[in-house]
Amino acid sequence: MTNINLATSSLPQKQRLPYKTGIISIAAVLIILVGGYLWLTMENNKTAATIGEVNNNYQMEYQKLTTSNKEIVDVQNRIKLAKDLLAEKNIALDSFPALEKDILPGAYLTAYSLVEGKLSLSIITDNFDVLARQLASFKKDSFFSAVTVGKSSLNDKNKVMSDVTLNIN
Amino acid sequence: MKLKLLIAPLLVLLIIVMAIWVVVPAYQELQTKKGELADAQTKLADIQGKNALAAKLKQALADNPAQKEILLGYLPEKAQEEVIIENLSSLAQGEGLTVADLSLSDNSQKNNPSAAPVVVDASLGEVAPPVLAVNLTSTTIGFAGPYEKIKSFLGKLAAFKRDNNVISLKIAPAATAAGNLQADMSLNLAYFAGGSSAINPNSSIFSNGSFDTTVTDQIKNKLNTEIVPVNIGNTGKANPFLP
Repeated sequence: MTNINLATSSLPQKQRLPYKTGIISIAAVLIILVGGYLWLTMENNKTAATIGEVNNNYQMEYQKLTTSNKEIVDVQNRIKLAKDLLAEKNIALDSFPALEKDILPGAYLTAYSLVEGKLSLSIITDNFDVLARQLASFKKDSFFSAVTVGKSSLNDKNKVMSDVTLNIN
Repeated sequence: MKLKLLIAPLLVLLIIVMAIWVVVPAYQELQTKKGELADAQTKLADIQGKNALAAKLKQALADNPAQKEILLGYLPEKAQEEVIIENLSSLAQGEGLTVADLSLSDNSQKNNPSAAPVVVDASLGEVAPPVLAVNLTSTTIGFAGPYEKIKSFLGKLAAFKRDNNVISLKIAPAATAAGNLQADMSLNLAYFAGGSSAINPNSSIFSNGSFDTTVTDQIKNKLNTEIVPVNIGNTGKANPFLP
């Protein structure tokens, strides 16, 4: 016959945190929280004051920069403006070598008018063949972006008078 | 006893409420302010650096006054009509050209096309400077002479140490002498009054710390027609109507 041991051993009692200790712990957390909040508030005020101070210093430095450096800015502005002005092309002067290079022996100019990049010429050529070759010569030159011919007619010396417009790049 | 039982949960609730609605916002506010402070300190350090560079630039200008003189010659502060007349007529006459007429008018402004838009912080009292623009003195000059001399005059004008830009040029045979040409030219000469009341602290000059000398070098080395100053000479006459 099997023996069953029915004797009960004493089970350990679950340890409960004493109420007082719990309250103290919670109160400590609360105090830390309040302390933290106070510290944060102080830090916020201190940081705000520092920001104000830094901004005041910035204002002073800004005033110094913008009031005592007019000469520097004036020179810099002149440099900027001069740079752009120097980059502008002098097409009036540049047009002469181009015309000298392109003009045919049987042709000559009687009027030259350069306005806003458009060169209007009055040309006298020995005949229409020279006129045609003259136009071809202008078109061959990359200095001129467009060549258009206006009215062409014979004058009293049997020469061809033509109005030619050249666009300059 | 009942109150004693309620204290603990109430305190826990208070901790949660405080943490969520009081402490965390205060912490977030501090973080924001620290960010603002860091930004403000960066801006301050930046402007302090700019002031240091500005002092260096001032010294550079004091050490090299010729640089400013070259720029003031190329782009003077005023129209200086007398200098324009003196130089255009002496240049033309120096080439053997006959100047028949010369007129000036001061009526246009030209903005700087490469001027960058200015960013300003109005909250810090920054003011946007005016857009850079030069004033133009429109000049027309009529002169006559041989083709080679007209070409040479235009060449010397292109090398003039003061800005000038030919707007229009008309040439036709002169009625007076065979072989001579009559030219009518319209040109603009720029000047820049400067003296801006507002300075842009974000101007690149306060970051670079040095002037771009290529412009003054170009004026100095490539343009070789000097600006002739006007010599007033003797003045005074008892009857100003006497020839």
